[in-house]
Amino acid sequence: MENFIRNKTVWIWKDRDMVIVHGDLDDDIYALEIEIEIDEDRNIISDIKAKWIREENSQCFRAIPPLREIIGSGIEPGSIEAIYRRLSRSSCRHFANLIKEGLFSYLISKRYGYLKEKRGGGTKVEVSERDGRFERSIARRDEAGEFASIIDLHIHTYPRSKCSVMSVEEAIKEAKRIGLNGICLTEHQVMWKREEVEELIERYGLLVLRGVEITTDQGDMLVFGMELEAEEIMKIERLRDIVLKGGGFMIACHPFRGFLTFGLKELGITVESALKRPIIQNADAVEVLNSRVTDDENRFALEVAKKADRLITGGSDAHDIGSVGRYATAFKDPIRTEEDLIQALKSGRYNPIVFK
Amino acid sequence: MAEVTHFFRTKCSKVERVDDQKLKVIGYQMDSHLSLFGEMEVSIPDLEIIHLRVETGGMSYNLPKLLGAKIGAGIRKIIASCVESRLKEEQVDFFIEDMCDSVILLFTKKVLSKAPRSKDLKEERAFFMELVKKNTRLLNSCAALSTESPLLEGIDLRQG
Repeated sequence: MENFIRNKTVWIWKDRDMVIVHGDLDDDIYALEIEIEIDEDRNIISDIKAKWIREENSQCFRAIPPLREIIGSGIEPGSIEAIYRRLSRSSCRHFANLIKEGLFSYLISKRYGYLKEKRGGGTKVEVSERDGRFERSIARRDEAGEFASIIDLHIHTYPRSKCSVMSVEEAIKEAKRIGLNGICLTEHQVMWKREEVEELIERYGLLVLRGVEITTDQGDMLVFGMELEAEEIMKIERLRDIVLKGGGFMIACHPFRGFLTFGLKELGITVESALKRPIIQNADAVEVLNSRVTDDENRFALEVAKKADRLITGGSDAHDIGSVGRYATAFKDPIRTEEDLIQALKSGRYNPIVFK
Repeated sequence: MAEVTHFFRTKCSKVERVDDQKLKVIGYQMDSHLSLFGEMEVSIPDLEIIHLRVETGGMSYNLPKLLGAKIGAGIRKIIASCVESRLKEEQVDFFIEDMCDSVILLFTKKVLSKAPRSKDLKEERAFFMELVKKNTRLLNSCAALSTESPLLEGIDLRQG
């Protein structure tokens, strides 16, 4: 069949005082790359590099030198359009298009605070990529407002999680029955294979996603967005490194389970001391609604997460049918795939909710 | 590559011929901030937009003002004037532009597939000279097709 496909990708990061915008374009005719250096303080383009990966004719190389005309240009919506028009003719409209994509991405990342410094604590943390306008709070299902997808992010099934008394089929059927948009299978230490969940999706018509609950020396951590299994208890710093390299996302699950059995005063735990714990410091988000801990422990997790400036999620941690969907996470953006999930988790546009 | 990526975007547009009278375009964008999904139908041979729907932030928009617009010269201005400012903040106008670009590129691909594959400048020059004479708007449309490029050096459009 006659068709045409174009893919573009943009990455933005900081290198000292500069912002680097890297873009790739690949379609049925052309393939090219750009790298724009931006002086963030002055909001101007300070350098640009470009190369052809696949050009169309022997003279396409002539498109590269004129790109330097834009060095010194300011970066506002109007000036980006002017840059696009100018380069479309003097250089090549495909480079112009990719530069526009990169500069528009830069504008969004700047406008919504994605370029702010990452959190410290000795560990690089990828997730300040989030919507600063989004209020982090817990809501009841009927008060939650409009959300595109409500997903139980924490479910264990038997036999992959020996502690569960629920099969995956039972979990899915129950999730459908109560109206969840999807569930995430988070077995202990092992992951479902992608083809297995695709088969489940096809068979039951419900979104089934994958994560894993990894036991670390500091507590349990849910990991999403990457393939990961562990045979033994991991050092939390090692897990953090692996997840950062893999582009995943970490949620400290039930971080204070059992801690408050004797009351806060007896243990001497304060919000200030708790937020320094490695399980919180190394997490991108904290699970503040979990059906297997006390209300006090959930409340305390919420207080700590807010003080530590971590994102917050909810998940049932269901090991039996009756617990499925007790708590969930309501996302503003639609979740249809694992890739959607990881992007949504990093965006911060969600709230934990009491689902039933 | 960076140790820490602050922002990531991926975008895809695909166009395919449904039948002799219609093209279908699908657009998809996902980044650290939001997701966009779009579908468009375009009539052949007029390249008129006959259906358009864009999803963003869990909402669906039909953009009726763009129905009937012809994809070709001036489409970017038409899109700019028909997309409401709230959606422009989410760069929906650029997203639709890219979907329209893909339609043009479907036909460009067809034309360029006839270009000589050899590195022989003479053959290449003959092909592009002929192409530009048939479509004079292409002259100076990019660096490779400028009058300074060996592909078109000395071109005389009056002979076309």
